[in-house]
Amino acid sequence: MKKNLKLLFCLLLLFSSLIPVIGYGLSFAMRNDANDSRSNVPSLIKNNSFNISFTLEFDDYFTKSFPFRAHFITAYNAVYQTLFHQSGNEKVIVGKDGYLFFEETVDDILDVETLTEFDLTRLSVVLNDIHRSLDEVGIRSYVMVVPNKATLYEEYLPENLKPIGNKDNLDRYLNLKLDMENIDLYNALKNAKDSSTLPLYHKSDSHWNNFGAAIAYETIMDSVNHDSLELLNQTPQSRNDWQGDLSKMLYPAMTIYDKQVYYDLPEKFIFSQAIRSFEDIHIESKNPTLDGHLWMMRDSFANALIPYLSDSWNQVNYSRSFPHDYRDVMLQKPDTLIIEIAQRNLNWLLQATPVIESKPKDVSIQTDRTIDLDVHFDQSFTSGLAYLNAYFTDQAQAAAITEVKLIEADQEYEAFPIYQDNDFEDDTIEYGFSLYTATKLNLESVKILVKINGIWNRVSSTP
Amino acid sequence: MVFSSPVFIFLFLPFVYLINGVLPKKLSNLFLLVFSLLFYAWGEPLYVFLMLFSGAANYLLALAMDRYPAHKKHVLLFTVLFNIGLLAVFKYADFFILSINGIFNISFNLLHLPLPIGISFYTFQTLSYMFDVYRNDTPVQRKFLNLLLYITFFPQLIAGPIVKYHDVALEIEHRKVSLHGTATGLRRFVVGLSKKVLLANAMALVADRLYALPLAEVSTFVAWIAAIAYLFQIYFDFSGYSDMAIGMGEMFGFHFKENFNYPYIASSVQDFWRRWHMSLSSWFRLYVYIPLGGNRKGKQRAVFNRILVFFLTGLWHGASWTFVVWGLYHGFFLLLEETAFHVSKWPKVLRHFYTLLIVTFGFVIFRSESFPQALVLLKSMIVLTPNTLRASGELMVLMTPTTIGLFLISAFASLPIGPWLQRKFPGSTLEIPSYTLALLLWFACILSLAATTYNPFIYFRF
Repeated sequence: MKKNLKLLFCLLLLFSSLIPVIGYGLSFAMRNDANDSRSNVPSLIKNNSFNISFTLEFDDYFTKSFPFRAHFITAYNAVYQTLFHQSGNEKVIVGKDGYLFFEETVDDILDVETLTEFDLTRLSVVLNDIHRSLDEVGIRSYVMVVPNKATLYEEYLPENLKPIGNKDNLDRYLNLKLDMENIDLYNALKNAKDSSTLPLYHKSDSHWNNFGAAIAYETIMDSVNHDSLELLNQTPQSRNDWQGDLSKMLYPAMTIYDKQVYYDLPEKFIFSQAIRSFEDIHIESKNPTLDGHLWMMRDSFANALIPYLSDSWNQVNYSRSFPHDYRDVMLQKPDTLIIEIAQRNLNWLLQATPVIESKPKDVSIQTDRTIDLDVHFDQSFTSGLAYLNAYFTDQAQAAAITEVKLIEADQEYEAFPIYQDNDFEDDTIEYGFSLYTATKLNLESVKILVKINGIWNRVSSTP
Repeated sequence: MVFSSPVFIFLFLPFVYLINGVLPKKLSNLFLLVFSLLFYAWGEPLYVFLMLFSGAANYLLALAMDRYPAHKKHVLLFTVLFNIGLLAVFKYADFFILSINGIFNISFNLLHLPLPIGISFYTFQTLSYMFDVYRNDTPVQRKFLNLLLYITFFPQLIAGPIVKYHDVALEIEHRKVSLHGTATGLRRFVVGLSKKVLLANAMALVADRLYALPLAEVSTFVAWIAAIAYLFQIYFDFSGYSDMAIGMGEMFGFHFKENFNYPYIASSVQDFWRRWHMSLSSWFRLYVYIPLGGNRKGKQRAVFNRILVFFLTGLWHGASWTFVVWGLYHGFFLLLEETAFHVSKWPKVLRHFYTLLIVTFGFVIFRSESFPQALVLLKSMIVLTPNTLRASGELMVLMTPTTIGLFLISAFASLPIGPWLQRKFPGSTLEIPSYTLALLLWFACILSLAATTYNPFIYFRF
């Protein structure tokens, strides 16, 4: 090969490897729109001393934020989708007719049972326990599972993803008998989908649009028996101005608009404190002209509900903290509390202990049966309550435990059948129990009672 | 620092190459040494001092060996104990303690020392220098900076190939950076980067997800897909790294020996080890097997020597009994080939099939976190086990047409297509297509690096 061609090859390679540096030189903004690019510029000096993590931080910063990265990601995904007709981002599934789906909903798409029957029983125990605690102080509680986009729009899924199981977690959850009242969004949205030409979910977003949210809102108001804005009597305006989260993941350097609908709202409410966005952990709205106090444990699906609900209640508290924290709820005692959770995150309810005090009661369980189980305890005092988190060593045997009670000093405590590990948002449910109490329990004398197959057993191992 | 990271690709490599190109030759070694230390310190800011200490100690010991020839055997013995001691403390201490605790049912506390990246590689390189000096294969290096550059030169520092001192001794002092070397080096670098970024990373996603399944979910199909994905992952990961190291060596005027020679076309386990991680095999052959007598001291001794070499090969890869068993497993089949199997008389197709099967099964042991996991996977590969619902779900998600295509490309890329094409089209006929392909692969790698986050190198932990 001629010398000049080799030179050209070397120059092209070296020049292209310098593109990001040239980007710095030309003062291109470091920020790009990729979801994971919110890192800060690391500093060699931190807290008046040498930052020994500088190299790691710089690696992280540069990898996520180098100039033109958003353009590279966009080009990569465009090429990938053109060549292979699938997404280059493992978190996004490319469906038919421009529909994008979130990869984390795949287990639900395939109807692969991620929750066992025991998990479902534990889920009902957890929700019933919360319901009982709230009911004791006069708070009506509801639970509302938001169906995944793929659950409602499975016809737009790619050909290679077909259900192989019998029922998804939502089907099985909807069949549970709960003390807490269920707000059935699935059937409400399904009926709306069948009777309306408007889509309920964005094509390029994992969430519902304002119409889907309006259906949910009206279902909520009907379920809790509260006056609504009658949104569905309006003809909403439609605009092409929504940027979907999934399309932003694939094409961060491009602006791709999706359809959104808008309702005429009274907009009479105010936020008690300034908010940065509807993603804030705590939001409180007030509307003095109205009645009622609603508390919502929520996730990102409720973003679209905030304008509707805030215009319908005297006060609404939206809490995005997880594990769900009920301490303020117990102080403020709203009339109504709704636990809103996305279908794909149902398992989270079995991985994080709700922060709610377990009150001592008279002993109600007597049993002569014992079971050998090693338990690892971790008890700490945080946020004004004692937190006991316990893990069963024999996880296979513990998988069948559906309820747990503790007896200490002739008092009985209801424990959640939940072990909370460090990563409680992963998809791995581990078995144990946990509870919050006013004071620390004496672990030397505590008796552990576990329910297996409907029968109470006393755990013979003590800490 | 990882070769396939944006910091390396967009900052470190172009700057080090360009500045080295304009520096006076006499400053090149110092410059490359400083940046090699920076390269290492980037990921190991504290352990860089351990590497410097090891380098300084070996430098002085080599000088002592040269100065006191009557005592050089003692110095060598001390050198070996010193270097293997460092390796034992920093890599194997907890493994030894755990094994002793298990055998004698006692509970010595673990040291929990983090593993210094690349310690196995640079320790073996240092020992290579010491053995060469001991055997008068090469004169002692009197310039500390030059010896340190040999040990720490960034292309081969943390994942090989294990460069023997006598192979590069001359080039440390006299080498030439040329346009031809840069072009072929860059092309080789891109080939290695593509193996890593486009193939190994894709295979890793499949292997990692399937190996993470609970043992109850492992079906025959899952076990085979996981095994084949890992077979490709480890080859393209490691040989990709070696290609990048060899390519960068060429860019800076060094010529490292090949580390892989299409190992998956091997026709016996013995042949496999002549093609897989050749720098490690030849290191053990040169500095362990032959000094122990090789096959010159009778059959029994030869068997012992072989088994010892494979035991050490397994142990070198990691502080776990699964690695040791993997090494011994290969040693066992190698002995069988020499005594009972007579593989060379088998039909060619059968020989290749047998070798690939043994290697694939071996990597299942290598990849498994524990013996129970390895046994379940191996059993599922042999005994027909139906898919569970979850396994079917995983396979449905993973085995897209693109993934299946990547498996086929991986199989194709494991064959010696390049050498075959070179024989078919001798001369410079293929140069323009190969450089054009390299350029396309380069842009594909850049886009992929920007868009994906999965990037660890398997051999970093060795």
